[in-house]
Amino acid sequence: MGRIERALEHANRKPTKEREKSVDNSAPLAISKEQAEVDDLGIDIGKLTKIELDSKRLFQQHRVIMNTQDSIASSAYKILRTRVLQRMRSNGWQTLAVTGTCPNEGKTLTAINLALSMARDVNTTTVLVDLDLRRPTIHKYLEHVPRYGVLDCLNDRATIETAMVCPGLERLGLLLNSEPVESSSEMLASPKMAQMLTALKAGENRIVIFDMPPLSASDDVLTFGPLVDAVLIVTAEGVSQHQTLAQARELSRDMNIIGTVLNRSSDSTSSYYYYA
Amino acid sequence: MSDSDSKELTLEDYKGILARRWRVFSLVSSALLTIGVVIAFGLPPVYESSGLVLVEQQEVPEYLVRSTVTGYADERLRVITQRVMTRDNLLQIRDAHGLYPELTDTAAQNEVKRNVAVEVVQSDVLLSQIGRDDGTIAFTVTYGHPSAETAYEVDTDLIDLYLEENQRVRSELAADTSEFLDDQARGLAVEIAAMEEKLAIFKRDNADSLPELSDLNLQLMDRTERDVETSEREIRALRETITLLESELAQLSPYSVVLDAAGNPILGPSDRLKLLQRQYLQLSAIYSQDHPDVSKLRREIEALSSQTGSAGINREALEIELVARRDELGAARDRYAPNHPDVLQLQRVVENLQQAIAMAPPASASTNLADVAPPDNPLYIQKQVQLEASKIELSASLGRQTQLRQRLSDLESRLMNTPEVERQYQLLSRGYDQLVSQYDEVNQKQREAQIAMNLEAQSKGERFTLLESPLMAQLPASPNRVAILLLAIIIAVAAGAGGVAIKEATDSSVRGARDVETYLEIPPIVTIPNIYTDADIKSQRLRRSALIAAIVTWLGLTSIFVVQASA
Repeated sequence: MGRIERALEHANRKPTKEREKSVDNSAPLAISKEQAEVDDLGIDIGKLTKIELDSKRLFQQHRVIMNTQDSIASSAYKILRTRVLQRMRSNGWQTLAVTGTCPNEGKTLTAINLALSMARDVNTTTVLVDLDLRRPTIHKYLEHVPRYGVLDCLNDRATIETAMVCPGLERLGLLLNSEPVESSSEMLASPKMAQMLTALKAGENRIVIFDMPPLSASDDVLTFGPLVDAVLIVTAEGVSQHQTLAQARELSRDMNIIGTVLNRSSDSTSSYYYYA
Repeated sequence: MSDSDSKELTLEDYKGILARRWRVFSLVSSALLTIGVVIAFGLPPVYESSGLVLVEQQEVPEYLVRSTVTGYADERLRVITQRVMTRDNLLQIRDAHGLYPELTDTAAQNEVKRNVAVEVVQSDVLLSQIGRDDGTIAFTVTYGHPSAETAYEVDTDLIDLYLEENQRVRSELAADTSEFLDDQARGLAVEIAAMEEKLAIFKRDNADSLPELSDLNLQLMDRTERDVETSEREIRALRETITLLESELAQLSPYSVVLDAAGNPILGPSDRLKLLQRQYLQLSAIYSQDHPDVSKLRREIEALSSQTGSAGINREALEIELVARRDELGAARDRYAPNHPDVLQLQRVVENLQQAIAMAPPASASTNLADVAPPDNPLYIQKQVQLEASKIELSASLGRQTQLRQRLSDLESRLMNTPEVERQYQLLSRGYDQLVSQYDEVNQKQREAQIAMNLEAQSKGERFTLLESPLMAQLPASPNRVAILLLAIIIAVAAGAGGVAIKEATDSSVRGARDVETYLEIPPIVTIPNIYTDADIKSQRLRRSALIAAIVTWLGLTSIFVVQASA
């Protein structure tokens, strides 16, 4: 069978019924076998543990946009995704750290929604990693406590493949964390972390998104910044202070900032700038 | 600091600010607005009654017309007001109308005073009202009170007070003035009388030296001097005449010569007597009294003496002769020895004379040779008469001269005194004039005061007339609710805006993509709007409802309050 036929076949087989809860890897995924083969070099999303997420609930509780319910917001994330992907693709970047200037900017949510939006792009496999080691929160947003987390991987208690889960969206893998640690920057600087990074981004069309703490909270981003290809800074209207923004600028001068996001904007029309 | 560097706010920015800060604005402005409404409608109304009193003046000095009349009027009005607003009067009003029962006397008195307004009506306004602008002034007396009726009654009483006070004061004042002036006049009159007395005395005492007489005195002096000259000339002439006459008389015999047939003069008995007396004198010196010639002479002299009635032997002549001879004797004794024939002769003469004297009858009153026999020479007599006449004239002239001289010195002294007299006189005169002029002044004032008093008595002088009597007010004069409300609205809006401005100014958080670009130096790729969950929407709706409910409640309460207050 040709690739196209196979894709078509898959498309026909796309389930409209509810996906059954299963723990094993047997549920069919969107990635074609060929692609999965290619991914053998890296982590095979298809082989990850599947988890069920109640998208409606997650939206109502945590504003996680899994489906395109909120048209305005989701189209904003779509624009974000497009621009980010464009930039990353044209530069060959694969890893993106999402950070902010201060807490409560909605940086984690942005990372999550961005990842979810990216997952809808057929040409990309996305991995979202909760790298806010001191205060991991992605699992709270998704209401799923992982069996194994980032820490376990760093401590060699589990492999990445076992720790990662797939939330029912093809082309999206999640590496969560439920145990906060204090010595976050040391861990980030460890060789194990570098190894993990390599493993995670292996594969063609792979984008890895790291959810990181704000620049002002710790030096995690400073430590990890050199290891990633790009950094996205999230700011929030009414939350981020001018001062902190200026500080963040200073801190991030040596980093490759792919761009910024203004979150919680009260503009009725979403205004965006053409990035020159 | 809250927006871009350029500080210019676009419409978008304003919308954003409004959306963000409407709560602050609403809170602040509604709070203030509520307060405003409460004040506007909560304040008790004050009703005012006002009366217009006209002050008519009979005479206004020229320099007090137009603009200065008001100033003058203000001053006078203030004085009158002070007299009316006495403690007694105010308390009386308070008692009469039962005002401010909860306040003490002092507080009540102050409260009444505080609610009274007395104002001069501007002259141009007056002109339009009464059509006159000749120096009349008018003032209004206004009283304010929460009750319209009370305001009206109190105002009426106050105006009555003013009218009464005016009447009383002016009568008193006129009477006082009159009395005072009377005293003054009396005092001055006394002084003037005294001064007149002094002047009279002075004039009397210095009658001659009065300055007004000095001319006359000069003239008199002149004339007197001339008179003196004339009299001197007269005297000289008379003296000459007398001398002449005397010399002529000396040459004339007092007796006219009677010639006998041979042409020899015949001696009359008086003449004979004189001759015999002469002979006797001679013989008495030479012979003693016993000598027959001497005795014969003596007998003849006595016979003639009894005949003519004139004196016989002239004792005096004898004595004179004796003295002369004695002198001679003395001289001779000195010169010669006592037994010199001259000495002896003179001795004999002295002895003889002494004898003769012893025998002579006592001396008679006047034995002037010239009186012995009356002269009968007509020429002699004529001359003698002339002489007498001249002598009389001379003495008269001398007398007159003395008189004139005296008079002259008199006049001189008069004239010399004149300057001093003049000075003193002028002093007195001036004093007198001053008194007189003062007196005149006082009299003038007295007349004026009298007129004023009379005018007052007839009520035709300056008086207060009630032009417009107070009315009971229908509507309260204050507070101006609408104005307060408007003001409250303005303040509320302003304060609200102020609050917003402050909030905005102190807000240093990111607003809009521009801020991100400014501070982070990287414009956002995208702005992600707020994501609204169902819960969000619900709570928004809830809040909106609550807000509407709050507004409605607020409006309702306010309306109720307003309606209640207006009722």
